[in-house]
Amino acid sequence: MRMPARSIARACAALACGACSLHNSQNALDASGPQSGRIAGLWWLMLPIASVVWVIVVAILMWGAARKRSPRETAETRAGSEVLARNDARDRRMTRIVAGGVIATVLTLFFVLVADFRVGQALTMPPSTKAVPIKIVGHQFWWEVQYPDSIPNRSVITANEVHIPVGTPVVMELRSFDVIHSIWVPSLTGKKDLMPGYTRSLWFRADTPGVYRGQCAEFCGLEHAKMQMLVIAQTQNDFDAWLSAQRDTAKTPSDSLAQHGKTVFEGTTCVMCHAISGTTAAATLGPDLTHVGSRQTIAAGTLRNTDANLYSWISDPQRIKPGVLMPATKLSPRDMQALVAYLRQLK
Amino acid sequence: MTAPPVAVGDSVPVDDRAEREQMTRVWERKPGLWGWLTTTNHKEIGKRYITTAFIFFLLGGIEAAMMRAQLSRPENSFLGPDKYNQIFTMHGSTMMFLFAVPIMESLGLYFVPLMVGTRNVAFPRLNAFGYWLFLIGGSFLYVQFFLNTGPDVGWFAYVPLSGPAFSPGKRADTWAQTITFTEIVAIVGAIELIVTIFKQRAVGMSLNRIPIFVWAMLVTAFMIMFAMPAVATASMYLALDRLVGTHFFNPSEGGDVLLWQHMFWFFGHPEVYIIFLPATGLVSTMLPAFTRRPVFGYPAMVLALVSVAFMAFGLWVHHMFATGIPQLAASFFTATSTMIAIPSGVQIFCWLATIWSGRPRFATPLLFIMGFIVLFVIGGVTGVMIASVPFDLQVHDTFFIVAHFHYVLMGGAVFPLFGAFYYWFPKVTGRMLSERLGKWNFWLFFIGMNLTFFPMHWLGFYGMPRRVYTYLASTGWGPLNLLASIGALVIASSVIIFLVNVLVSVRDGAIAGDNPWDADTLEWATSSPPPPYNFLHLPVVQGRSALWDEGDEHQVAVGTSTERREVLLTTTLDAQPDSRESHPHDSIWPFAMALAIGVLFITAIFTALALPIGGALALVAFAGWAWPSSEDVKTESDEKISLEGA
Amino acid sequence: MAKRERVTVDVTELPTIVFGHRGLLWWGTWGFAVAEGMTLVLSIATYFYLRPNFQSYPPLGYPQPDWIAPTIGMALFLATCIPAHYLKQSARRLDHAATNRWLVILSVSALVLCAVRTVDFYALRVLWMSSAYGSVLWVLLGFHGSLLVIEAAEVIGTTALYIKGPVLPRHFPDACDISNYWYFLVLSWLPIWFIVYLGPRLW
Repeated sequence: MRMPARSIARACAALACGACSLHNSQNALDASGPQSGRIAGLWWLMLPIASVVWVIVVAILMWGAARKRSPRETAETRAGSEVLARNDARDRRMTRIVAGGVIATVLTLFFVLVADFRVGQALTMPPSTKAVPIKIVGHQFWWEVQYPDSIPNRSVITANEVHIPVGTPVVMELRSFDVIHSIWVPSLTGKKDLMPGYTRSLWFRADTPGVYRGQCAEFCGLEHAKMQMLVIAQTQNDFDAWLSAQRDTAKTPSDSLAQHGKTVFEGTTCVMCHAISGTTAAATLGPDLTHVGSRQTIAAGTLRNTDANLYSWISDPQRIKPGVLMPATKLSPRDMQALVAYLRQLK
Repeated sequence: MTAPPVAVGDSVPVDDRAEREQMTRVWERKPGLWGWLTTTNHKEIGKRYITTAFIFFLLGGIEAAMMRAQLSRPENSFLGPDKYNQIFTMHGSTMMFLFAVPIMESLGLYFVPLMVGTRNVAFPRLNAFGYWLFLIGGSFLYVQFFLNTGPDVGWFAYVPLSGPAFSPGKRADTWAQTITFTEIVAIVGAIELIVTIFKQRAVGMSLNRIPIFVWAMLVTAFMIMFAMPAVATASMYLALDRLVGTHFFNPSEGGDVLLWQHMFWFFGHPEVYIIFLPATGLVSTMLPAFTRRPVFGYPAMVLALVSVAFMAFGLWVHHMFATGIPQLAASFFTATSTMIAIPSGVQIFCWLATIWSGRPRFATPLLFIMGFIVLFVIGGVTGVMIASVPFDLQVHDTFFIVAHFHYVLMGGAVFPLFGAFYYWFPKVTGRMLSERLGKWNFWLFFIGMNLTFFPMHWLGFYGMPRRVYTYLASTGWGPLNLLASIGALVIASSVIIFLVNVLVSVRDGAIAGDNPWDADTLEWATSSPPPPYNFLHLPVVQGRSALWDEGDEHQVAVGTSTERREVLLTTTLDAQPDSRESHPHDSIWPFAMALAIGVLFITAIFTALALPIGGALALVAFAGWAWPSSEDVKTESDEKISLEGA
Repeated sequence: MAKRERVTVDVTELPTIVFGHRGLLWWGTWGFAVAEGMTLVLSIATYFYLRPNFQSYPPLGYPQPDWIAPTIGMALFLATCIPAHYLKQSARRLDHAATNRWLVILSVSALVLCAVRTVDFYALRVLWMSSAYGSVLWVLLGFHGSLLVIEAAEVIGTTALYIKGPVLPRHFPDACDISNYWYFLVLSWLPIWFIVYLGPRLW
C-alpha cells in the first residue's frame, strides 16, 4: 500500500509543481518518517473508501434521476395537483434498502474508526529508545530552537533550523510566550500547537536524510505566512559534528572588514535584540546569531542565506516581511557590507 | 366585532373583494418612509433581511475574490499582510455571522408563518427590532473596515492574539462587538421561530404534519438558543479583557487561552449545523414539487434533524486536536464526529429514494439540489476523515480544511439556498426567474466551485497552511493556487448571472400565479406575492402535504377578527384551535430600540459612559414600545378572557 | 385556478386573552430565560474551568469572600417569591387593585435587591482586574446583576403602567409572566450565590 501510494503522491506533487523542478520536501503524503508514514497510510486507506461511497451515491442519484419510468408509475390528479400515485409496496421496499444503506454506513464508519484508533495509538506511544530532546519556543514570527544539555554551557540555542539525527526519535518540548503558534513539518509528522501557559510535547523520527520544510500552522499575526523552518535530518555523525560546532562561541573575525562589522554590530541597535556568544551582545528578543552564517536561510525561511539577501534584509526587513518585529537599520553602505561580512563568517 | 361573513359548512362566496379590502386596511403598513420604518410585517422584514444578508454574501464574496487574486501566484503584492488579514477575517465573519445564519433565519422568518398558515410571526415588533439591530451591527463592521479598523484576528479571534497585549487598537473590539450584535439578533429570531411554530400553526397541522423546512427551523432555533450564548459570553470575556482589564485569557494571572477555544467551538461546531440543517430543510421541502411525490421517510428525516442537533453539541473538541487534548477525550470526540455521519447519511438516502421513486422535473431548483448532494457528499467524507485525530493533525489549519468546509457550507448550504431562491422567488415577487439563466447560474457555480476547492485538498497535503497572505515560489503551490483563483472567477461570473437574472426577472419575469411549481406546502395556497394578511381565511390542514391531501376543496377556518390584527393560536402538539390573540400595531419603537442598543454597543468600545447613556436611551425606547397607545386601547379593550389552564 | 373554499372551523367563540403556556408571551419569556440561563451556566462552567489554575482557593493573597451579607441577600431574594406569587394570583383573578399592590411591593423589592447586589460585589473582596479569579466572580455577579437591573426596570415600568396608564386585559397575563421571570432570577441566583460565597469554604 505504502510504496505505490508514495509514488502516486510524488506524481501528484510533480504535477502540482509543473515546471518547477524542486523536490517538495513539505508534503504530508511524501512521508519520511513513521509518524507521517502511518498517517499517509490512513489517507490511502480512507481515500478509496470515500471515493467508493461518493461514486455509489452519485450513481444512484444519476440513475434515479434519469432512469426510464415504467408506464405504471403514472401521475394522478390529487386535489387539483398532478401527483404520483401512492405506492406503499414500493416505499416499503425502499425503506428496506435505505435501512441497508444505513447499516452499511455504520459498518464502514466503524471500520474507519478502528483503523484510525490504531494509528492514533501507535502515534501517541512514547518512543522506547533514547530520544534527542529539543526545546522549541514560538515567537512572532520565528522559531527558537534549543538543544538542552545537563552542563548549561554546552546547551545550544539557534533559530529556524532544527538539525536532527536520522533514525533516532526526537522529543520536542513546545512553548510560547506570546501568541499561539503551531509547529508543522508535514513530511515528518502532524502538527502541535504551542500554547502560552502550557508546555506541549511532540515526538517523531526521520528515516531518510534530507531537508524538510515546515511552517507555522496557527494564525499568529502579520507575518504568520513567513514563519517557516527547516528540519535537517542527517546521519548521527553529521549531527554530532553539527551540534559540537554549535556549542563553540562565535568565531572572532580574521579579516579587517569583518572585524569592522563586529564593531558595527556591537555599536548599533542590533545588540538590543540579538545575542552572539562571546561578545557583549546577549539580548534574547530576536534569534541568536552566534552561528547565523551556518544557517541555510534567514528571516525564518524566507530568504536564502546569501550576502545580498542579508544586506537587503538588514537594510529594510519591513519590505521583505512587512510587520516583522525587526526595524530597519540605517547604516552607510560600507558599514553594512562590513556587518554582512561579519555575520556571514559566523559559521 | 363583526360576524364572520360565512358560517361552518358554507362555501366561501366568490366575491370576497370587500373582505379583502377590509383585511388589507387592517394589516397593511402606512405608506412612505414612516411606514417603511415602522412596519412589523414578517414579509417586509423578511425581504429586507434576505436582501441585506445577500448583500453581505456579495461583500464576503468580493473579499474571497480579493484573497484568491492575492494567492493566484507566489509572492504576489496585490494585498499586504495587514490588508489580507483584515480581509480574510472579514470574509469569515461576514459569511458566518452576517450571511449564513441570518439568511437561513430570515428565510424562516419569511416563510415559516406562510408554511404554517398564520398571519405574522409571534412577536412582530421583536422581529423588526432584530432586523434593525442586524443592519446596525453589520454596517458597523463594514464602516470600521472601511476606516481601516476592521478586525484582523480571524473569524475565530483566538486569544492571546486578539487580546489586549497583541491586538492594540480597536480592531479586535470591532469583531467582539459585531459578535454581540449578531448573537442577540440570532437569539431573538430563534425565539420568534420557536413560538410561531409552537403556537401559531394552522388548525390540523399537528407536529407530525409540519413541513420539514419548518422542522429544520425549529431544531435550528433551539440550537441557536444553546449555542449562541457561548460565543456571546466568550466575546464578552474578550471585550472585558481588552477594555477593563479582566484576566480570563491571561495565563500569567490564572486565565487560560484554551478556555476561549472551548467556548468558541462549543458555539462554532453547532454553528455549522445551524447553517446546514435549514439547508437540508429547504431541500426536503423543495423536492416534492420536482419529484411529484411527498419526501420519502418523513419520520426518519425529522429524527435525523433532531439527532444531528444533539450530536452537534458533542463534537466541538475536534477543532482543537492540535492543542494537545488528552487522548481519551480526543477519542471520544473522534467517535462522536464520525457518528454524526449516520443521521446525515439517513437524510441523503431518503433524498435519493425520493428522487428515484419520483418523476423528476429538471428545473433549476432540482439542479441545485442534485449539485448539493454531489458536493455535500465530498465534504461529508472528508469530514469523516478529519474526525480522525492523527489525520487531522496533518491537515488541520491547512487548505485541506478550507476545501472540506467549503464543500460542506457552499455545497451543503449555498447550493440549496440558490435552489431556494429560484423556488421561492415567484412567491416573494410574483414573477419567475429565468430558467435559461438559471441553468447557466447552476453549471458555472458547480464547475467554479470544484475548480476552486478541489485542488485545495492537495494544497493542504503539500503543506500550505490557512491564513497565509503569500507563499514562496519554491513551495510549488503556485499552479494549484492559480487554478483555484480561476475557479473563483467562474463562481463570480455565476453569481453575476444570478444578479442579472434577479434584476431582469423582478420586472419582466413570467407571471408566476399562486402555485407555479404545483407544490404541496401552504405558502402556495395564497397569492404571489402574498397579501399583508397572508391568508384571507386561515387554512385547515388535512395531511402532511397540505395542498395535495386536502381533496377538492380548500378547507378554511373563519372567525378571527377583521377589525384588528388577530392571529389564531393553536395547541402546541396537535394544533387544535385554542385562542385568538391580537397582534401589535406597527411601531417606530423597535427601530428606536435598535438604535439605542446600537449606540450602547458601539460606544462601549470607546468609553464606559456608553452604559448610562445607552441604557437610558434603551429605557426610553422600552417604555415607548410597551406603553399602550390610544390605538391599542381602542382595539384591545373588548376582550374575551379565559382563565383555563393558567 | 382558485380552489373552492369550504369553512370547516369557526373560531369566533374562542377567547382572546389566555394565560400561561396557552399564550405567546409565556413562551417568549421562557425562551429568553433559557438563553440567558445558558449564559449563566457557561459562566459557572468558566468558574470551574479556571479554578484548577490556582493552587489554593481562593488564590494566595486573597481573603475568603464574605458570606454573611450575601446570604442575607439570598434570603431576601427568596422572600421576594412571596410578592411574586401573590402578584400572579391576583393577576389571574383579574384583580386590578391587588395586582397593582403586589407590583408596587415587587418593585420595591427589586430596588432593594439591586442595592443588595452592590453589597454582594463588596463581599467578594477582590477586584476584577486582580486576577482571573476576580474576573470570573465579577462576571458571574455582573451577568446576573444586569438581568436583575433590566427586570427591575420592567417591573417598575409595569407598575407605573398599572398606576398611571391604560391597563388593558392583556396586561394580566403579562403580570403573570413577570412573576415567572422573577422566579427564574431567584432560581438562577441560588447556584451562583452558593458557588461564589460558600464554595471556597466547603471544598
